[in-house]
Order: sequence, then C-alpha cells, then structure tokens
Amino acid sequence: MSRIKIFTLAALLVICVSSQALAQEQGKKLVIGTTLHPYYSFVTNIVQDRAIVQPLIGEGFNPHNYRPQPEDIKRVMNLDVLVVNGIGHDEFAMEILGAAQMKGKIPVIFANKDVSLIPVAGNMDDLKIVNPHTFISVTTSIQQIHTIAAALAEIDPDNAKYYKKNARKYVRKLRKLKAKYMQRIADLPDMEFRCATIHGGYDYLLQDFGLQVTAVIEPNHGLKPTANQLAKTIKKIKALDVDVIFTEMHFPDKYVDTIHEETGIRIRHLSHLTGGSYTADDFEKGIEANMKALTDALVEAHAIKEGK
Amino acid sequence: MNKTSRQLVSPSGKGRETMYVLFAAILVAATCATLIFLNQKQSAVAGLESFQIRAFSDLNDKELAVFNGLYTAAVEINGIHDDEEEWLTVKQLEGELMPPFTKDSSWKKSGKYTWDRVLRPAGSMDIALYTGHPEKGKKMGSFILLFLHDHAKKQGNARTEPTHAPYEIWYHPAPGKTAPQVATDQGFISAGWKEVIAYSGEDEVKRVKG
Repeated sequence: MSRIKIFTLAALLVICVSSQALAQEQGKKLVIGTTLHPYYSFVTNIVQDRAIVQPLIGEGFNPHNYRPQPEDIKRVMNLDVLVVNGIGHDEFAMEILGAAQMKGKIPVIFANKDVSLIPVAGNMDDLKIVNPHTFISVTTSIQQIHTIAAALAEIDPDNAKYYKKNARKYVRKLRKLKAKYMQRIADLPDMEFRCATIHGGYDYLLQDFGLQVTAVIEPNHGLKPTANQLAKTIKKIKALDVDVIFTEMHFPDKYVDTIHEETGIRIRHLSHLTGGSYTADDFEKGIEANMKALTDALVEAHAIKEGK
Repeated sequence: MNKTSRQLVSPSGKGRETMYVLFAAILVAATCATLIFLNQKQSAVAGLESFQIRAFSDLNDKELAVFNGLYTAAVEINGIHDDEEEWLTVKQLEGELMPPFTKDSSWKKSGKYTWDRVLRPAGSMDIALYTGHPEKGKKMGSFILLFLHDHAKKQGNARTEPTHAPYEIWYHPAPGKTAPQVATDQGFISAGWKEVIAYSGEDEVKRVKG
C-alpha cells in the first residue's frame, strides 16, 4: 500500500473518531424546551453552548390563543427539561406534554415559582387580578433567571457553577441596560405621570420605573372591547386625564384610532415580547425598546407640562 | 239519534309519573351537588400566621415596588454570600445597580429609602440585617431584609437541613422604626413587625390547579 493511501486512510479514521466523539458530546447536552420568547433568551444566556435550547412552538404565534399543533408533540418528545412561565400565556405547554404522554416524565421548571406577583393596576372593574406578565420587566425577569439557573444547576450538576456564573453576568447586563434608561429620566423633576395601556401587561415594567398604570383599556386578558365598553373606556380616560396611551403591535388600530380621535391623547407602542424570532438577545432588544418608549413618553409628558 | 257517551279515563299511573319525574330531578340535583363537592379544588395556598402580611394585598403600590426589589436582591445577596462568604455592603449594592438600593429614578419615586447593613453573628448563625427607612414625610413603612445562615453543618454538626429560611422580609408601618435587638421571629413580632409573604408564582399555580 502506498504511503498516500495509508495517509488517506489514517485521516479518514481520525475524522470518523472525531465526529463520533463530537456526536457523543452533543448527545450528552441537555435539550431544554422553552415556551415564550423571553424564556428562550433567558435559558440561552444561562447555558450558552453547554445545552441545546429548543423553542417548543414555532415563531409568530399569539400566546393568548395558541392551540397545540401535531409538530409540537414531536418536538416535546426530544426534550430533557421544559421551562415555562406557568402562570398564564403558555398553558398550551401542558396540553402538549399531555398529548405526547410526557407529563411527569421530564422536569418542568416554573420560572415564576419565586416571583412576587402584583395585581393588574387600573383594572376597569377595580378587581385585584394577578398579572402574569412577569417577563416584561427587568426586575422580575432577573428573579426568573435566578430560578431557572438554580433549577438547571440541580438537573445538570456538572455545569452548575457555569450556569450560575452566566446567570449572574446576564442579570448584571440587564441591570446596566435598565440603568441607561433610568439615567435618561434622572433629572426630570418629580411629576405625576398618568398612563393608560391597551393591554394589562405592563405593570411590572412600570414598577421597575416606580410608576403605575392608571387604566387598562381591554376588558379582559386578550379580549377586544365591545362598542359599549369602548365608549365607557373613552369616558373614563377623559375623566382620568392620562398623559399617554400605550398600545401594542397586535391590537387593532381602529380601537386606538377611535380613542385617539375622541380623547386627543398621544399614543405610543409597547411590545408584549412574545413575537418575532427566537434569539439570545431577543429579550434585551424587546425590553430596551419598551424602556425607550416609556422614557420617551415621560420626557415628552414633562416637556408638555413645562409648556416647552 | 245516537247519544254521546262520556267516559272518564284516569291515568294508569295515578300520579306516579309526577313522582318519577320529581324523583329523577332530585336524583340529578343530588348527583350534581355531590360531584361538584368532590371536584372542588381546595385552595392549596398556605394561610398566613397572625404575624404575617401578604405583599400582594397588604402593601401599597410603592411599598410593593420596594418589597419586590428587595425580594429579588435577596436571591443574589444570598448567592454571593454562599459563594464568597461576604455580605454585600449597601454601597456595593448601589454599585451593582440593584433595586431598591440603587439611587435611580425609581428609588426617588418609591420613597427614597435609606438603607443600612448590620451584621450580628451569633454562634453558628451568621445574621445580616438590611434596614430601610423612607424619606421623612412619606406615607410608607420600614423594611428589614433579614438573612439567617446557619453554618452549623460546616462546623461538623450532624444536622444537614437548615432550620430557618435563608432570608425573610419584615415590615413595620412606622417609617422610622429601628430593628429589634434580638433578630428572632419573637423579637420582631414583639416589636410590632410583620413578616411580608410574597404571593408567588408557586402560590398562583396552586390556586389555579389545586
């Protein structure tokens, strides 16, 4: 056998062995399922390249009315662990687990387990309803990141230190991001800021800034107001004298336009953070856009009150 | 001419049908009531002791913001102490941009709390208290974030389970209330403090799913 043939065979053998080793290495990695977009970002930043993060369902769904699809069942069967919000928005995850007969077979991490929940402020019926949007905030997201990291550290003890270190680094990054927007409004004189939101999902975000929602327009989670409710809402908004109304991407413009036309109040957009693609920095981008919209509204409201 | 004859025909059941229908209705109602009773989800959310209050319902919105900041910071302070055996100072917490310690816009709107850290080691117990008071004139109470770490295990004691939660948050409606001399439950309770219990995601899951 010529030297070239021997060399070629040896090279092929090395490649085969390396590929097998790599495949085995990848085989050892945990496959972690996530439901909503922020949880994909949280988990990816915690595990980096030491686990595989797998969104449970495809992009572009509306979590308020998602129904499980057959392909979701296939996906869940490959998971080692699932991370859920657990208090709203991702009930479909349990349905998928049930349909795939996976309930109780893989650990489920409830990210909100240790989050201190707050009520939906400005509820038209003045009821104290739990707000499940803990993922639209820096502070409550940090609590969830710690919970997820601690749970993953127990499931995958070999990487426990790595996960905790990454979680700590990630939460510092998020706090710095928030500080940037806090700085924007640091010199504003203390004033009352009154705002209405179309969707009752932004109490945690506003709490991060020491603010509170004055009124929520949609009558219930994910429901559109009837003509009668809209008329009642317009009347209430006029009486409440709000500075701005925060709407969001999926809310039909006709309602917002009607409210704007009837009240003359400025409209700004906030994101529910549950759309678009699944990326590691999706949460940072989304929450930053929300913090920008909020601080823009504060600066603007202050300028108007100062008569500038 | 034929005479019309009349004959009175009485129901064969003599009113029994009414009884059957009534019996069936009672049976259905009783079955439904039994099933509803059996399928009722008992609230699995733990009740509170007399010395405890619920953050969700018993604090005002600004106090709730302070509590939530403190509750989140506690996880990290606790984790850093576990790893590095140090209690972060208030200055370090401000530097870490951690609410409610960092003096940002939210801090200004949420009572401008002044924080103080006191360490009180006692035997195997490593005790740290972070006490916060709002600015004068604010209608807000005082908070204490209390850490109780039992290092008995590390010193060779056979006990493996901690006897106390690693941290607790206590509240007093007086804005200038100082920490009790004795950092035990009884010490706090007798000084009029209330332990604040978060309404957590775990509580909500238990409430919904039973």
